[in-house]
Amino acid sequence: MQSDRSTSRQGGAGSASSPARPLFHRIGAVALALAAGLTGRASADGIVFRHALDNQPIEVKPRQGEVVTEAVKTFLASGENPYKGDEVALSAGKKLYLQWCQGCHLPDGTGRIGPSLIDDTYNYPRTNTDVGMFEVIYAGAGGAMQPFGKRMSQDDILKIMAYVRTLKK
Amino acid sequence: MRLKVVARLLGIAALGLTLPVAAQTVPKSADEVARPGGKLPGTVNIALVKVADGFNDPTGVASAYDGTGRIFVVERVGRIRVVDKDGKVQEEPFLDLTKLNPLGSEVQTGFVEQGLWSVAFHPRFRENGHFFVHFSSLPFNGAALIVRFTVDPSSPNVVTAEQANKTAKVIMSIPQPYYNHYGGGMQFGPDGYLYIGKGDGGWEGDPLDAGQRLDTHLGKMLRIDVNVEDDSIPYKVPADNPFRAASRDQLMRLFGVTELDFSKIRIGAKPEIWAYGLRNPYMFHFDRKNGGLFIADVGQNHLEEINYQPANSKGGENYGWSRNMGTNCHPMTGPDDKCPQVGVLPIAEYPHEEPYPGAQKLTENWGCSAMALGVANYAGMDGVLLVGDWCSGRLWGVGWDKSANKWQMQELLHTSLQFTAGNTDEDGTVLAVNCYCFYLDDKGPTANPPGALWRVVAADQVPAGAEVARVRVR
Repeated sequence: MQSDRSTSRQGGAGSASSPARPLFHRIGAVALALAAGLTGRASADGIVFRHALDNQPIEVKPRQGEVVTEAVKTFLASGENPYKGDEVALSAGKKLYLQWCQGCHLPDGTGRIGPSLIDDTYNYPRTNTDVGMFEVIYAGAGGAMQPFGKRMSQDDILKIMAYVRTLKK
Repeated sequence: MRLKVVARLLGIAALGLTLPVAAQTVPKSADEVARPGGKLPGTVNIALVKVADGFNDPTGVASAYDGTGRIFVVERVGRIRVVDKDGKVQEEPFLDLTKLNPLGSEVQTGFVEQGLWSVAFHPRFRENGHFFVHFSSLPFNGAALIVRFTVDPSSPNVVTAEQANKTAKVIMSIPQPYYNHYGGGMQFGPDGYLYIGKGDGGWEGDPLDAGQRLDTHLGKMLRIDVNVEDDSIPYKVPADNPFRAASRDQLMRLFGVTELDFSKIRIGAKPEIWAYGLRNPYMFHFDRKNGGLFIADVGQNHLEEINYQPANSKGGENYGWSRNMGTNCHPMTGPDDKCPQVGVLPIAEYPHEEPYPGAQKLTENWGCSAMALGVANYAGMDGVLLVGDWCSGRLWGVGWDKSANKWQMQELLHTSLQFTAGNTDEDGTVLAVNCYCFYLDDKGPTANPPGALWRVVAADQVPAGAEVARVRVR
């Protein structure tokens, strides 16, 4: 299996909303990441997001009519979730989690027909990073872990992510 | 018995040959049951190629086997869509159960497990135009209805509301106590009888004990003869159904009767029952090559099971629910539960993420809802049941390993797809549909992102430019 902790999604591969990129661009991203000392920091150009199943680049773009918030812009550029620890966002994230996620993952995140969100080991190790968790929620993974980017805004995904992190004691 | 019918269809008896008895046997002990991690005979490399998309919560798919190559995709809302042999989806539905009655839809879709589940075409559809649908009824308060309609030959791709109302014949109406565990699948067997999968009626834990009771259609495989043209008679019970006469009135005799004969008196037993002890047998398939029957029984909290009946089955199998789920005890309390194994063992089973209460969560080889997609006899597969999991997107093959004399279960793909159903095409190719349907915040059967129709092909036979399902790279 390809590494879930992909260095190639970090670095200067262009806009996060770009479609699948030619190979030389991805090689360039790896080179830049390596040049950056594998710090995991995103370049100013943003991040190449990848699908959890096959690690192929995914297109991240707003849904029709979706407002791209400052938080989303910040996240797409830096890979850091600005809502982490934000009480207002956490409250909204909890409501969204109970609306969309608890059916499979249970209210406390221990999981039933969906994986546990509070284990030490995620099904997809990339979920340990904010970029990886966004990739799984936005573009989906296996089966019922649907691409929730079809259902909700990127801003809502960030709020859910911030709340899910609080479940992991 | 189906075996005789298969032999007759193949003309083997006329040639003076004997049909080889299928080598597959049903496990006699738990250690013979296949589990993930096995290896199918030979080398199997497959891919899922998209045929068409844009379907609202597709819940079923079928071929009419009429030589047209059409594929019929069932939408939960109550519509059947036609996909032509080139993959083009006809705009007008083949059947629209939402438009038959000016007072509203025929179909209850209030819960995600409710709706139109399946269509099955009569084995002589080309001559008689009959097809059968199975759905939860809005006018009948969620009861499961099986209705026969007849196509007007002058309009083969659209059954108008007028034609549907004119030809509708209700075959069965089965009351439903709760809004889940309906089952829903239907298939014609090689014997020409209609087989129907019925769930235990819902809630959880089978509170009605429907699986083990013979006085209810719930929790069963049913088998009926629909070859009745008299519209006042919905169907006949096949003469060899195992409980056909179990409840007949008779004089009481206490002496001179064997215990075996006493045991066959089952007052209240429904004559339509073919097999029992099932929880939610949504999808099941016959191997069109040998007449064997695979039943995927959706499990509860910890295990999914795949059952198999050889073609010479006489019916009457008890698959154990709710005393067992697969080889597990039910209710399951821990890893060391001890209980009798009731009835017939499955041929294969796979765990949920939590295989027993308190177990360490699995990261591989788990699922939560077994959908039998169809039996593959191509691409290196010989009588392999393809099982797609609704939760995990895993696609397993379950097949008989002649050299090892046992069943094998191998993960063939780990896909992004939320499998809901499958079937075989006219040429035996296995088809699958996936939804983006959901238990939470369900806004109805047309509100979800649309699902798609897929074809299972050998990996080296993917057409140039075709879209293939995303799979996990290992």
